[in-house]
Amino acid sequence: MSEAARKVTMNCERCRTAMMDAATEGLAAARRAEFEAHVHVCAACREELQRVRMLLGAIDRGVAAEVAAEPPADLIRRVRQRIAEEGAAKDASPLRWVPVAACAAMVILAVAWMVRSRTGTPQNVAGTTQAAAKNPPPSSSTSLVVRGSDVAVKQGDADRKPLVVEVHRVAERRTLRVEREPEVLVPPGQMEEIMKLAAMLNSSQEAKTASVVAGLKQMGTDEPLEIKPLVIVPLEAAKEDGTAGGGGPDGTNPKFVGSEELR
Amino acid sequence: MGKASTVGVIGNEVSGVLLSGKAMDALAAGCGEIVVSRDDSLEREFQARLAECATLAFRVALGVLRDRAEAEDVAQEALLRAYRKFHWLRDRQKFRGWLVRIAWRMAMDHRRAGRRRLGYEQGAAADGAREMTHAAQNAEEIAASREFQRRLNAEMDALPEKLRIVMVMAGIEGYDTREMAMLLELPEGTVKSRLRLARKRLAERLR
Repeated sequence: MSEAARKVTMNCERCRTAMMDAATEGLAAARRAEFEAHVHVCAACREELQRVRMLLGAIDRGVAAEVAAEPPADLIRRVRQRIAEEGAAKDASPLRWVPVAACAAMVILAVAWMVRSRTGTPQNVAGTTQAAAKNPPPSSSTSLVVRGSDVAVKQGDADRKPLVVEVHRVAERRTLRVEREPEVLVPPGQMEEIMKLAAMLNSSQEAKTASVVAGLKQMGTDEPLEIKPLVIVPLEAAKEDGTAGGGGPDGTNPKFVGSEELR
Repeated sequence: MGKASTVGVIGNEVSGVLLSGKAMDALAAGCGEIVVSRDDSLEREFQARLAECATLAFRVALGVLRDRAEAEDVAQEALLRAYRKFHWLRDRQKFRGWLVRIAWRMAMDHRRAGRRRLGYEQGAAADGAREMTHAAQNAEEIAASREFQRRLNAEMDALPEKLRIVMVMAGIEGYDTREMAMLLELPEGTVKSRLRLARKRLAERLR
């Protein structure tokens, strides 16, 4: 399309429609050429374009005026003061070691998991590392020392500086032997009895079919273990006997009786 | 020796420890120990950036709230939040843009909370129009400029957030769309088109 043709195609109505896009430089090149050609010859549209440009300038100045203010001179000082106060409050808090301890525990557990996955040997790292490091057993299949207590101890040396956690190789190679042991829930104060029972069972000197609870009762009296089977009496037998009570208070409908009562 | 990566922890918070593969190998295969010590390099770096960027945070908050006192409060909280999270920012070159987004978000939240809303609605037009009134020649022009500023503020508030933030940033940073694109982490073309659309929409409504 020639320059002359463009002048003809752009009338005032189309020019006003494109006015805002033209003022914000949003017109495509071809349409912009048409627009400029029209504005060049149309005084009214030229004047309107000037008004739109002034309006856009006022908008820009108005927005800039809103944010032109300087911050108060003591803003930075107040922020620094708040930082110092927060640090002091955390130092005084008894919970300040919780995240550190949690962090150390996570690392230790991650390492334990890695060791387990690599060696295929059961490892007990998280709970017993400290004790094992103090009293290392003589034999070992895997070596590992993670000194979790250092985390808290060394952090407490300084005040409110950022922490950097590093992993160092230690010169002394310590060993940790962990074997899978039977898991037994031990009531408070009964560890000794449990250990005696375990030794007794392992030595095969007594009946191994006894339950742990029965064994515990026997341990206190030094009586031999005795297995007393539980006998369930059929309903018909109970009715015929009539004396085998123990169920209801009147003894009319007994369902279960002990072995002593049957005799 | 293997060193834990990204474990500088500012303040007294330890949110997590990321060990490098080398460090994990050292712990798993050989003997190792975890040592936590203090390093104030992060603290120093933040303090330097605080001095550089406090004005930016304040102006972003002011662009949303148009109230100096509220903007000061929000800027202070935004800088504190940036301090607390500073150790998580991997690319420190992006600190300004990161801070802009924090301040913007907090200012928007503050504004939505509606605190002292009426006060700023009435007072902002007069404060914001201060600069324009210097150029005004007479009482009528001053009144007109104040009225214009009031309408402009109302239309700015009505803009979608993504258009409004580019307008505010344009007011703060001038018209350097490249810098704005970096700050807002947007393509430069997107910033240009949003800025154009925002100005066009405001002009159409204020015409």
